[in-house]
Amino acid sequence: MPPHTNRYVIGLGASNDPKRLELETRKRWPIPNAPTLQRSPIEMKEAHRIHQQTHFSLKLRSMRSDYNCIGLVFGSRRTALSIDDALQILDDDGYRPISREDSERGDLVLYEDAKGPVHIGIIWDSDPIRKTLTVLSAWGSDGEYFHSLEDVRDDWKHEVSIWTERLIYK
Amino acid sequence: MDRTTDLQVSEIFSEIESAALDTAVSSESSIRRVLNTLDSAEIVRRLVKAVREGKIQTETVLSRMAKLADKTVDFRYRNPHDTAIAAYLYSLIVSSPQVLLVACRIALAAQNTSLSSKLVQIITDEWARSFSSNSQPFPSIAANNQNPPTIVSSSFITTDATHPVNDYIRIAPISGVHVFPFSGFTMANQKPESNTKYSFAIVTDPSFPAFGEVHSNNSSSFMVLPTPQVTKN
Repeated sequence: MPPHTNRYVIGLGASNDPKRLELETRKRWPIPNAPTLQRSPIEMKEAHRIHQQTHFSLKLRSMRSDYNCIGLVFGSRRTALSIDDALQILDDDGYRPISREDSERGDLVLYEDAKGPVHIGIIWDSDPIRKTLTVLSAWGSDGEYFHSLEDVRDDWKHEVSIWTERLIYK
Repeated sequence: MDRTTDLQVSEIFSEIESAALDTAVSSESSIRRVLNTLDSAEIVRRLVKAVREGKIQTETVLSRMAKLADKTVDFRYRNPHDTAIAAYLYSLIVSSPQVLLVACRIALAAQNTSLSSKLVQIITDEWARSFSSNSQPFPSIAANNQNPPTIVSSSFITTDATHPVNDYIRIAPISGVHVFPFSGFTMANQKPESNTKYSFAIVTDPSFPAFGEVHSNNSSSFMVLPTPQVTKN
């Protein structure tokens, strides 16, 4: 195959990317990943300010931007992954969708648009009286936030599902 | 161009370079979503429409891109104009494919970018694929290249020498030639890894000879092994 037809050109974080961290699913699929660049303090403060104007539940946890939402969940905040790979990772790692009523802290929330996953976060807290869930997630390279389940960008909320890998013996 | 149009142009550029668009695009976690957000951004659509209708000259957009790409950056952080450069590049993909390669070259000149360099990689990959026998030509390129350009590929391998912190690899185009990174490179400028093979492509305009150089600010730490292969399609 001539060099100019190599398909891996497109995939930052693929196996030939020197910035890639060794990361695999439980089924040993090598997950493409690469840390993103940290953004300047001025930009991060501005991103926080802009998001807070329309998302009132948003509470800042961190202004790091070298990982994204799925990098927080599956890369332990060390790298950025593509959210397009979310369903494969969830499947490989034995996650299954559950109802909102059965959710627990630590379960995952997956946001999808009509074409697939767009955002993912971790359930941080639940309020059984108000029946609300608080989610912890990184908003791309805009920082990491606590927010209510529903308080995300409108174009992320086409479909929201909750996933768990919990194993409980009774 | 009358004063009203001048004002509109500066207004459009200002919004393209705004924190609002930067924040919207940067909150996405895949290149698919980045492209989707750029495509649905009202200001990007406004720019595309203005360029298509000739209200803003393509050269004006390229010139603005170049101005941003030339700015000095703080290497600790992502280029603050990364999103704007990506937005200009995307607008030109849609509105003026005939200047795509020049736009890519300008985008690659910007340092410490992430979004715009990913976009360039997608474009060059699509373009490269268009020259393989089993794929359809990338429409916007094919329409402007009746004579396919020559593609020369080359590569080099770094040694295990210690690289200083500020060491970097830079591929530098020579006049009339477009140089694109293939394997190894993740952005226009990056700290090299030891014992790693880096390869790049030099894509010529049909009428220009192909020359390119690989630069490092510590060239003694590199063993450059050029292995040119010429493929004429």
